[in-house]
Amino acid sequence: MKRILIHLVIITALLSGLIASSFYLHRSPDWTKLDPFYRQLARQQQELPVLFGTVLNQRKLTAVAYWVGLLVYTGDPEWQAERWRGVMPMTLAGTLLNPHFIPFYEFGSSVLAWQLKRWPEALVLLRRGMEYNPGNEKLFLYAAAIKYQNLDGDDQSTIAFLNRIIFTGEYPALLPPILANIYKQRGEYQKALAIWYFLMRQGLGGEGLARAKRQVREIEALRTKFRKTGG
Amino acid sequence: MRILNLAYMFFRQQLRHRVQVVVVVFAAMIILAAMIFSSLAWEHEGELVVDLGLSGMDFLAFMVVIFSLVFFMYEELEMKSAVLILSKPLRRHEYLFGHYLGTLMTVAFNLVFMLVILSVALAFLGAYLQPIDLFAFLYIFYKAVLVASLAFLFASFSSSVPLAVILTVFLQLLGHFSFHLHALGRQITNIPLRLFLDGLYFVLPNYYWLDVRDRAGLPGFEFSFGYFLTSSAYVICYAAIILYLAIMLFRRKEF
Repeated sequence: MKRILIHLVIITALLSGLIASSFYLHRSPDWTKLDPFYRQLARQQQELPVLFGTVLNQRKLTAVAYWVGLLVYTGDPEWQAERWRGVMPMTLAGTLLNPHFIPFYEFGSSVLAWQLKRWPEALVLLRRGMEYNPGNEKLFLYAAAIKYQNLDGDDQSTIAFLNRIIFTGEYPALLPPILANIYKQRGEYQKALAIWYFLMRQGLGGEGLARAKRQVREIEALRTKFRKTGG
Repeated sequence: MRILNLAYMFFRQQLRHRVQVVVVVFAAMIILAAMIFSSLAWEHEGELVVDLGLSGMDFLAFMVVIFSLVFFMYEELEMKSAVLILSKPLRRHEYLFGHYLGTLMTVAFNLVFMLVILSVALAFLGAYLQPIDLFAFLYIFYKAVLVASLAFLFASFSSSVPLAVILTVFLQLLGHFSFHLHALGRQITNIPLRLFLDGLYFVLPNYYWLDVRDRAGLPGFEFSFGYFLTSSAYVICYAAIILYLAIMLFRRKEF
């Protein structure tokens, strides 16, 4: 009898602890109302990997997969014919899964704005980034640069604006290559080279350094060709 | 004391079975990820490696528990090694609890090694673990505590290894899914179905509450001291109740 009573007391104590803790955890803020994923879920259909990542609580891992997928997609010339129309959906899915992963906003908006000339979409993406990461000032600078180019349509003022950002303090990582590319497209090879050399002096490593060297070689070749043709 | 000795014995036994091969798998995965991501995510490579590393730890900790379950059922129960140990002056609950603690020691041992590898890989990338990542690490262990208790419950009543493994995997999936079922239930007007989904949400192990790894930093989630205390209490109470049931069933088991 005494043994049964001890067992009953232990089980009652454990059950009470379980119920109390369950209700506390249940009463915590309603994630479904605060998380952008659930709001989006109500509005539109999501891709299967997004749902899969969510229900198995693997959102961040699925976001990593989307990130790698986005880089592969944008680097694949096969999609040039359809102007890489998957950039925006892929980036949005990635940011829904992990709204705090900044490269989605930086890279996605740069590709959309400067490569594909889809300014409004780039701004929509950055607006989302700024909403969920209000402390990240670099996103505001990206948005400002895109807005500047979009409103003005004039390279000169964009160049002046980007120069001001880059050479005066903390600059977003993707803005110097964007400025260098604008110079390259305009045939201002000396200025483009100056930016790549500036970046190499900043201690670029790995793929970044390889990319800078590749660009320097390309621009040097263009400059030589330009001189030979008497431009 | 006898339980601790048993736990240590089972821990050593599992290490002899090369269960720490998961650490090698993890190390290979992290080194590869660090090499790839260092060129794929400027300024944020550390973030990616942490996300990948903690997800990998979560999965591999689950695999260690499954391995332990298979080892327990096949070698101890089916090959009758348990009979030899239980013929000594040892109670069945001591045997089961010792095995459970041995499994948790193996999981903790592997997880700590994985954490060290992750920290070294991050140091090479010039990044480091944040305090919330260390809590996420702790919650991976918490999940293993719950999974192991359920695995031992299934082992104590099922007669075949595949059945116990399938049940454990099934509950692992359902435990992650229960929160979303509950959220779905709130949109349903059918009261009995809604009550059923709510029942699942409270009765099944709720791994969503323990997924600090995946939810840290996401909108709407704030990790507080109160959350830490109550979720710890939840894990302890849930695992204790399941182990209590497992012991009750194991006492009646015939070899």
